[in-house]
Amino acid sequence: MADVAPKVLWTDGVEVVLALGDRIVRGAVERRGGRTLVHWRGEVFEVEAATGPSRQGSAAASAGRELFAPMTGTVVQVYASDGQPVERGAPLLVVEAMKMEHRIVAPAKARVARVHVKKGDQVDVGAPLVSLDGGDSSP
Amino acid sequence: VEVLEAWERRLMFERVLVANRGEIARRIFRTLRVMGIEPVAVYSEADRDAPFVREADRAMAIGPAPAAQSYLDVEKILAAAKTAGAEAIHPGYGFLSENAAFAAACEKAGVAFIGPPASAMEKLGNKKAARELAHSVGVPIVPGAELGSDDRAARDAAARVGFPLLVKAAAGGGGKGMRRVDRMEDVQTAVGAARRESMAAFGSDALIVERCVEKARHVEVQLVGDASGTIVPILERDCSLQRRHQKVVEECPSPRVDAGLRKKLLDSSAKLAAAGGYENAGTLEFLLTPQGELFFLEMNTRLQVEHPVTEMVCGIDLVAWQVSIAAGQAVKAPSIEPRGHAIEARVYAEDPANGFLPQSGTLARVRWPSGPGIRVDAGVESGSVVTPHYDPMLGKVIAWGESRDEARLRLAAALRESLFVGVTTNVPFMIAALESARFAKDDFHTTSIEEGAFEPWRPAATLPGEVRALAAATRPAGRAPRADHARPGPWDSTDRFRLVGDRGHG
Repeated sequence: MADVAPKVLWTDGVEVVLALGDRIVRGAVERRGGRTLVHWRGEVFEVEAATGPSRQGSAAASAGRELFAPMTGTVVQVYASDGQPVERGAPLLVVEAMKMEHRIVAPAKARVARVHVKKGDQVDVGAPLVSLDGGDSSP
Repeated sequence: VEVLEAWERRLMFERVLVANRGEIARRIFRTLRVMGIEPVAVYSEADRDAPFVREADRAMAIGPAPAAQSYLDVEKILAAAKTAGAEAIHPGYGFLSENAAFAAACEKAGVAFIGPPASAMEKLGNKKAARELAHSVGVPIVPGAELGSDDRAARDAAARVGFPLLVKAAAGGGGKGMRRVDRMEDVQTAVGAARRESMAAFGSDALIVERCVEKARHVEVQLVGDASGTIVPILERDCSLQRRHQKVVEECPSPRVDAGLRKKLLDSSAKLAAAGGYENAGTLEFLLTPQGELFFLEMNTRLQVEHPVTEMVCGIDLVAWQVSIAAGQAVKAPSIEPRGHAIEARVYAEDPANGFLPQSGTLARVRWPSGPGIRVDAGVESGSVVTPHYDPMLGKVIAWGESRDEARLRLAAALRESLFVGVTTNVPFMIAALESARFAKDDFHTTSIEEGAFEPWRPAATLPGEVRALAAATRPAGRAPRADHARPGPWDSTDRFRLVGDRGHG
């Protein structure tokens, strides 16, 4: 099936209906923050928008290497420091928003490359909090 | 009969203000319309364009986005009710729903509060008072203690209760302020964080510590009571699939409760609610241990998020009962004959792959499912903005089936039909959970998600051909490729990961 050329039957720029031979495929494609996400049967897949082999190499690392503020709030605790190795699940910092404290944890074993905030900082949604690197490459 | 109906209408409210937002505001409006009552919405600046505002008969602006200056502002809400001519206020859940001072202020202002009287809320809504009342009427509670104000007292209390333990806010629910502590060294940090959260959420830093019962199930009893003192316990729900101490999937009835246990649950609940002089709809939450012991946890003196599963199995409308009771009518104690099984999935804007952290943004496209046995209580539509100001729940999908398995498969299929573009949701995670063998076999407890029993995501060895085709056919710059030009390109060259668990029963 993968070798059959897809034919767009209908799209409105978000949702797409394809014909793959006699198969009908319904889904949606969005670009969000430089990523391409494909929605299919209730699941979401990230598809690499590779421009060349070098890009692919760096993109092969697992997701969440850059941790962003999930919402506007205040940094109330910082546990991580630059250069610190962390295990998966290790608490890095705490952001308080909507009266809830949200622990930002390491999504994988990694090294803290840089902590971008300090205790007491106000952060906007999407603001970078922590950069991680050197984790194991399998997410 | 006509005279009687006219008389009943006179007793019923003509206009009711709903002091809430999102899906629950819309759900309450629906019942009000059925009852011939005009719904009045209140909204903050952040919700000006929200679907619930458009669906009311009147909509009153009550201030800026922060809840403290809008949905939690008692004076503004009472003023809106007066201006709109509303005779009653339904608080929904969250916000002011469990605030006894608000209920008292309504009583004082001559507006009916659709919920329990302030006095019952004080007795049963406060965890400490409710635990004491439960203990006094012989309903078992988890070993626990009040937390002293200084750190030494906190450590003494922790030592008495034993580890692992939970630190909780005395004043509220919803997991806010709750911390699990495994070691004495961590008591101080957890207490500090819990105090800050509790103060911010409830204006009180009073805490309690409780033994953490491991591998427990969360079982709760829905009941209603009226002004005459009649208490009708309806049926239990099971809300054991939780993350961050907050429920994600709920079902009715509990697959772990047999007839004997059910009688014990319902009898204990009715006894405790009666002892507190409870009126209107409420829920008593229990822990069920693997050994079959029941411990009363707390009472939610309001309508709960997960009330639809009970409604679907019992064929009732709990909001209609709430409104009737608040209007002074008696619970008619209909013969409830539960049938089948219902499961609810709460759709949240949150990222399961990143600690279930809340997400915000604009939903470019939303599709809710429908079909036999499917109920959707939705708060958002295509174009809706999810702001960071409020709880990130987008809505609920509820499935009914003759059996638990039918409900489970209907719900998973319904979620696969749904679409949320623009903001990350927990839908893929819930699909994976519902389709897992673990859920099918009912093999989980309240901390299973944290323990990793349901994977938030896993790498996919290869992307499905359909996904690669969708990506290939929608290259950037809006150039939809013609069929004869489509060929394998960079879009399908790199296999990444699924943001969620794989399908299958592994």
